[in-house]
Amino acid sequence: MLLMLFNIGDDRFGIDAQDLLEVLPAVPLQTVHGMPAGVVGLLSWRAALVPVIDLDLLTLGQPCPARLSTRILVVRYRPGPPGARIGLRVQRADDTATVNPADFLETGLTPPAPPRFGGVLPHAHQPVQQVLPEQLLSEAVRASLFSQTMPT
Amino acid sequence: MTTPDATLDGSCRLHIGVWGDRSCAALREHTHCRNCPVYIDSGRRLLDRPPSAAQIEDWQQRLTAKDQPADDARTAVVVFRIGTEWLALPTALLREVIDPVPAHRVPHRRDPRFAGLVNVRGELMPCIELGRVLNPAPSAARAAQSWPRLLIIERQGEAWAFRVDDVDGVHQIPHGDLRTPPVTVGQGAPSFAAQVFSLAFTFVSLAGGGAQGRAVQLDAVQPQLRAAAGAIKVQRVSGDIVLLDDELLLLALREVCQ
Repeated sequence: MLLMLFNIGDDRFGIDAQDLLEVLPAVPLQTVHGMPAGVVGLLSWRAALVPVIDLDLLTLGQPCPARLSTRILVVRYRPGPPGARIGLRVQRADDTATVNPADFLETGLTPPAPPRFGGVLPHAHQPVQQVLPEQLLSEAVRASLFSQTMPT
Repeated sequence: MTTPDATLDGSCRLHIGVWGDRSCAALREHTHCRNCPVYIDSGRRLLDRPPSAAQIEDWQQRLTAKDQPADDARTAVVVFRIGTEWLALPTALLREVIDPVPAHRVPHRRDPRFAGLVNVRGELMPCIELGRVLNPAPSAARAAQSWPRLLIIERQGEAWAFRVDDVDGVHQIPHGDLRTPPVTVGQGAPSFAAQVFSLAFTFVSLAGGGAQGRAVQLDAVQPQLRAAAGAIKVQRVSGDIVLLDDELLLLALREVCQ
């Protein structure tokens, strides 16, 4: 299993590369007002609009710093309608790791509300926790992102 | 040993690493600085800079551009000139393009289409006068400037060389642009014309070498050469180019070499 690694705050996280469609630089986004916290705007990507969630803002309340290593990961969003995609703006998206999925240790913790994260993997310098796109957003946020039918 | 300051920005590579006096103890483990985590981290830290306004604008332009439709099938062809006629061959057939090497005539071979044998890096292959294969009575018309080269083609281990007067380069031709040739195109040898396409391209010859003027593709021309505008002859070439039928051509080549 190939993980795309990035940071949320100072902690290392990884997302399964199978869900990853493209890694983009953090280009300016079209702001959408009145969206839930964490949703920072719309990315115009390959002639489509993709809602972008800043994971630092979503989890820590502090947006990603403007750095070259801050990037937008366009990922498949399976809980949404068919063909749904979301963009995840993350910092220090600068590495990948090939890991064995069996090595993930379950945390045994379930926060009362999303964002929830997957298992933790002891890794070279810093443990890596898995980000599962389907567990990032609450029902209400998901409904506000994909209220209308998506073009497939 | 490394000082904390030097390891912090990775400049230890210049003092005690492989670009310095190689006294770093970690070199024994990593062999080269590029395998050392200190060096790798210092490289990553380059990405901590904020992006410049020019970079952001460049990214945005790339992202808003629509994708080329993937079903737009294309054929890659190499475009070259023999006499005054521009021709094309599928690149699948092409092995390389080299500067001309002398052909050794073979005794008792008087076929004008067969120029002899050429030695391409130790490999002997027949050199064919493609112009005479296509058109048994070629016109004497020659372009003023040319950079003759040898086109080497190969199919299933068999290789042939052609003398051509100019090579423009490889072009991607959408399948929609390929047309069946009208009977008047490729006079004398219409059977070799598999398809015809229209192409407009800029062909640049460097006139500096006199009769041995050199031709290069426009994007390969160095800025300093562009400055010497007198030496450059920019030529807009546009018109119908004949894409040769590779199967028929190979049949003819085998016949010549028999």
